Amino acid sequence: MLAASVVESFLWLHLGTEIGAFPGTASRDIYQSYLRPFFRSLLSTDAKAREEMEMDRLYVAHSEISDAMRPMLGRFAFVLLEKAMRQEEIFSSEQAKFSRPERLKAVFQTFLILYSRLTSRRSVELFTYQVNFADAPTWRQNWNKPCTAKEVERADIEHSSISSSICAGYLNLWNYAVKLMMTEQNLRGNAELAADLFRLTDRLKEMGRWRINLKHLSSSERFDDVRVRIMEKLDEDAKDDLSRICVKEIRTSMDNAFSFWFSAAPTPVPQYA
Amino acid sequence: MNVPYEHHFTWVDRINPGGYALISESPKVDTLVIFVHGFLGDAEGTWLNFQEMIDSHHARYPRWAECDVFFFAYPSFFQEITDSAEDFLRFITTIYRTPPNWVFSIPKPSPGIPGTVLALDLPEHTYKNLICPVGTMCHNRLCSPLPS
Repeated sequence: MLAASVVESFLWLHLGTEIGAFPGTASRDIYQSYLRPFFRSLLSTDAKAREEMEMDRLYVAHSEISDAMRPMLGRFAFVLLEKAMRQEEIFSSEQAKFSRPERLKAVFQTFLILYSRLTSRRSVELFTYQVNFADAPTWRQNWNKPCTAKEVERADIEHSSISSSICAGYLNLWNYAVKLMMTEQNLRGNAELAADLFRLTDRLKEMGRWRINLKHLSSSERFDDVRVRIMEKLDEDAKDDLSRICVKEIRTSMDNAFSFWFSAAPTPVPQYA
Repeated sequence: MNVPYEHHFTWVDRINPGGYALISESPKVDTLVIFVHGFLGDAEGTWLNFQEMIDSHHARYPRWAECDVFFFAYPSFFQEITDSAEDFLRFITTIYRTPPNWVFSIPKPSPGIPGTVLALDLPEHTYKNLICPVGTMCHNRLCSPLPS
């Protein structure tokens, strides 16, 4: 998961540099100092595979870690990962090709604020790990422990059970997806920005998808488990008509927000009844 | 049209966990604006789109180029309001070392008006002005109390 997080940071750096939100020289310096050695470390330790790569008979000598990222990353991201592992120039590769990137600087910053706040939350880190990376017994052991709404509410500000953090992580991801969608909708009316904005949000959605990797069966099922438990708890707590209306609104909002996030995914997000 | 002076985002976690700032690159910065979200909001969501609009709407609101903009964060109803108020005062005095007197008797904002102005000018400092819009959702418009 740590490697995937670093790759994600690199993708933000790559995108921000194309837009001009990050100065090109500084971005390249950071890449050279920190990321280049990291990508090199992702190569297989198998001497034969590395030799094959050096002789250009193998494109990339993947390690177990880098190979595991293949189904998590979008096409452009995996191409960049492989180029980086080959120590090739990456900032001019796989660009989104915005027509007026300078117009996107401010909106990119807005998205960066939203996403970096999201990923700084302990609950999101735990959710990401448990849903995508934990083995089945670990997941079952943690997820089967019951938790209260109060624990979920306080999961990011005090130590709480892993199951409550998973629920809180899910809610934080929903919150992020709603804000992403609202920001995009608020800016959509700007005709001169529309095409570039679509490219930008599409890329951002793709960059964040590894956190809920619906292409992977167990991740998809775990995501569904979390969603179902949260909805069941909300239904249980809805004692009057007003509360039931609120729960319905929440359900609709979750469906819309996650559908928006996964709208261009090869595997569409499941629609829950 | 190019933006003459842009704002650059930075977290200000050291002085306000969860808070962040958009720092202007203009050499003429004379105003500090601190946005304070409401009880059900947060420092990012309450001001959603605003972060982008202060640069994208510079032609109509050029005064924003001369403002550093801070977004104060507090843990909403997870913390006593007096503690949040004290955090806020400490935050102001960290950035703006000699805050005006009004800071210690913050008036209640008018209900239903996003971006209520609670501020005055203050010379003799890097920042000459301090403005604190207090938050409710203002997603789709500039709730600017500044002269345009």
